Amino acid sequence: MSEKPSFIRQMKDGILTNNPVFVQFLGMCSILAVTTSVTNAIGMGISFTAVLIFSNLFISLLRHIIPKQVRIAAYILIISGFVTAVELLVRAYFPALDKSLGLFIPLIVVNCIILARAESFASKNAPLPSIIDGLASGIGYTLALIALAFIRELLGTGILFAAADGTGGLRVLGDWYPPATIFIMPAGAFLTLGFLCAAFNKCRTLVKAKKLKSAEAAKEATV
Amino acid sequence: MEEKNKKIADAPAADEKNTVSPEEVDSSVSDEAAAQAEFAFLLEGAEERVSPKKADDDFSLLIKDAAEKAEAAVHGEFAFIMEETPEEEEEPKEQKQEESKSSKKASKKTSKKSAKKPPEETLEKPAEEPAKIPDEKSADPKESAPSAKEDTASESPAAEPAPKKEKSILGICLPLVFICMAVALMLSAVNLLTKDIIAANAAAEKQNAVFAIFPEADGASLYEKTGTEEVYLALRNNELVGCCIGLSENGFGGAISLLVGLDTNGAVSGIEIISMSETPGIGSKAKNDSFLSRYKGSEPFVIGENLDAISGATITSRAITRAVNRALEIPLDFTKMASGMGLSVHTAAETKTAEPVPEEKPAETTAAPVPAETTAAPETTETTAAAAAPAETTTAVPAPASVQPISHTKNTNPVQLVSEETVYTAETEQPAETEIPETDTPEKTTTAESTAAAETANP
Repeated sequence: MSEKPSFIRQMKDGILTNNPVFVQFLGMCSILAVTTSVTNAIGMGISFTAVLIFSNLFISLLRHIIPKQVRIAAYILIISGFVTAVELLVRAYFPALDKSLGLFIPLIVVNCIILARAESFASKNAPLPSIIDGLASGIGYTLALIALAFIRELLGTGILFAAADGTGGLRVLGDWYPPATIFIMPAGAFLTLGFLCAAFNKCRTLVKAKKLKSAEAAKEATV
Repeated sequence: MEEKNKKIADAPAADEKNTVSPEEVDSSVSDEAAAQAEFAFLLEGAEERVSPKKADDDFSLLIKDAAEKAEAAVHGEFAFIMEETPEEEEEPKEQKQEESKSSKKASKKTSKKSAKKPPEETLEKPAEEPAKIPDEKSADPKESAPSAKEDTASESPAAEPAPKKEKSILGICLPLVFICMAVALMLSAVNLLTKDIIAANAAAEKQNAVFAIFPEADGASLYEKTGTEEVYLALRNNELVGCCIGLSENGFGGAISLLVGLDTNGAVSGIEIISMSETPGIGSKAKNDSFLSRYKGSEPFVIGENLDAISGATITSRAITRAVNRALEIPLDFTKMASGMGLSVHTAAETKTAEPVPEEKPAETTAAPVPAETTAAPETTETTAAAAAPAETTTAVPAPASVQPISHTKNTNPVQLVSEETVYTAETEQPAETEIPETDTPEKTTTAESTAAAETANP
C-alpha cells in the first residue's frame, strides 16, 4: 500500500479487495444472527459503520498519546463508549429496530472488524484516511449483510423488506412458494454465507486473472 | 530459644561432623533432649546454607534471603516497567503524590482498568519490603515504591542492560484515566439526552398493548407491580373496564412475555404477546389471533379438555396456557382497585361463553337506590324462573343467572356496583316474558306486585 492511500483505492479496498466479511472473514457472529431480514441488516450495518467511523477517528487522533502497553485496553474503552452511545440513541429513536436487533448492538464492541481496523490502520495513520477507511470497511460489511439477508429473507419467508417488528413487507414469492424456514435458522445462515463467500472469491480470482491477462497483453504490445 | 540455637550451632562446629553427638544432647536438660534432637535434625541441612558469620537468628536470615530473591525477581521481570530514565527521577515528589492519589481515585471509577491493576498491585507488594528498609524519608509506602525502584534501578549491577526510554506506571495509566473520563462524560451526555425518550417509549409500548386488548379503553395505568407480575388498569371515561396482567413464562426459545386482559367479571377478554422468540413458523403461530382467541372465559384452561394446542408447538402452547392460568388465579378486587384510584367500575357486557354473566347478582346487594326492588327481585325471579322454565330455553343469559344467587360459584366478585339502568332492564325483562303466558295463573298477584315494583323503579 502506498504511503497516502487515495480515496478511491481505499474505498475499493474496503468494499472489494479486502472485504471484512468475504475476504478477511471477520465479524461472523453478528452477520449470521442479524441477517434474518433486510431491514435488520441495514439497521445493523448503519450502526456498525457509525461506530467504526467514530472510533477510527478518535483512535487516530489519540494515537500518539495512547501508550503501546495499554493500547488494546484504550481501544476497547473508546469503542465501547461509542457502542453504548449508539445503543442508547437507537433505543430512543428506533425502538422497533432495537427490539429486533436486541443483543447484537452491544455486541458490536467485540466485533473483530472494529478492533482489527483500529489496530492495523487507525493507530498508524492520520485522522482523515482513518475516517475513509472506517467508511470503506463499514460499507463493505453492510453490503455483505444486505446480500446475505436478501437471500435468507427471500427464500426463508418469501417476503422482502419486512419491517423491524416483523410485519409488512413486499410479498415477492407468492403463495405457491412454501417458505424454506431453514434459511431463517442458523443452519441456513451458515450455508448461505459459505456459498456467498465462494461466489465472491471466485469472482475476485476471475477479475484478477483477467487483469493479469490484459497487463501481459499490454506488455507484449509495447515490446 | 536463642540459647538452644547457639548450643546446637556450636555443637557441630566442635564436632566437625554435621550430626549432633549424643553426649552433647545428653548433657542438656533431660526433658528438652528430645526436642533438641529433633530441632538439630531439622537444622542439619540448613547449617550448610547459613553462613556462620550471620547465624544470629535463622528466621531473620530466611526473611532476608526471601526478600533478596523477591527483589531480584521484581528487578529482573519487571525491569522494563520499573526502570526510570534519569530525567524522570527529578520529577517533583509533590506532583507524584497528587498523581498517585488521582490515579488511585480514577482507577476506582471504571472496571476496564482492571487489566492494568493486578500487575500494578503485585509490583508494589514485593517492592514494599526492600523499600521499607532503605527508604525512611516518606511515610507513604506506595509513594516510596517508585523512588525505591529508582534506587534499585540505579544500583543495579553492570550486568543489567542499559536502561531504555520506558514510561513509568503513571505515564501509562494517566492517558487511560483521561480517556476514561472523557468517555464517561460523553456517555452521560447521551444518557441525559435519551433517558426520557426511552422511558416514554417503554410506557407507550405497554399502553398500546393494553389498548390492543381493550379497544374501547382510552387510558391505562399501572396499578401494582410485584416481582413477577404487573397489573395495569384499563380505563374509559373514568370507569374501570378491565385490567391487564403482565407476566412471563418460559417457552421453547426463552421467556414469553405477555399481557392477559381480564374484564371486570374476571374472565379472559384478550391476550397480547409482548415478546417471544419461538421457532418461526411453528411456535410463532402462537401470536396469531386464531390461537389466542381460544382463551375465553374464566375457568382454568387445560390443553386437551377445553383448549386445543398448536400442533407441533406443544411447549409454546403449554407456556401460554400456564401464564393465562396464573393470571386467572390472581385475586382481583375490582371495586377496591377502582375506589383506590377514584374510579367507578363498569360492568362487562356478557361474554359469549357458557359462563353465565352474574348481572343479576348485584340486584340483591345494591344499596340505597333501589331497596324495594332487592326484596322483590328474588321472589319474582325465583317464581318466574320456576314458571317460565320452558320459555327460558329460548332466552339467553338473564334467566339462568337469576338462579345464581342461590349457588355460589367460585368466581364471584363480592361487590359490584351496577348502574340503575342494568337493574331496570333486567327487572322489566322478567315480568315482560312471563306476563303474557301466565295471565291466568294464580301468580297474577305476584306479577302485579312485580309490575308495581317496576313502576316504582321507573324514574
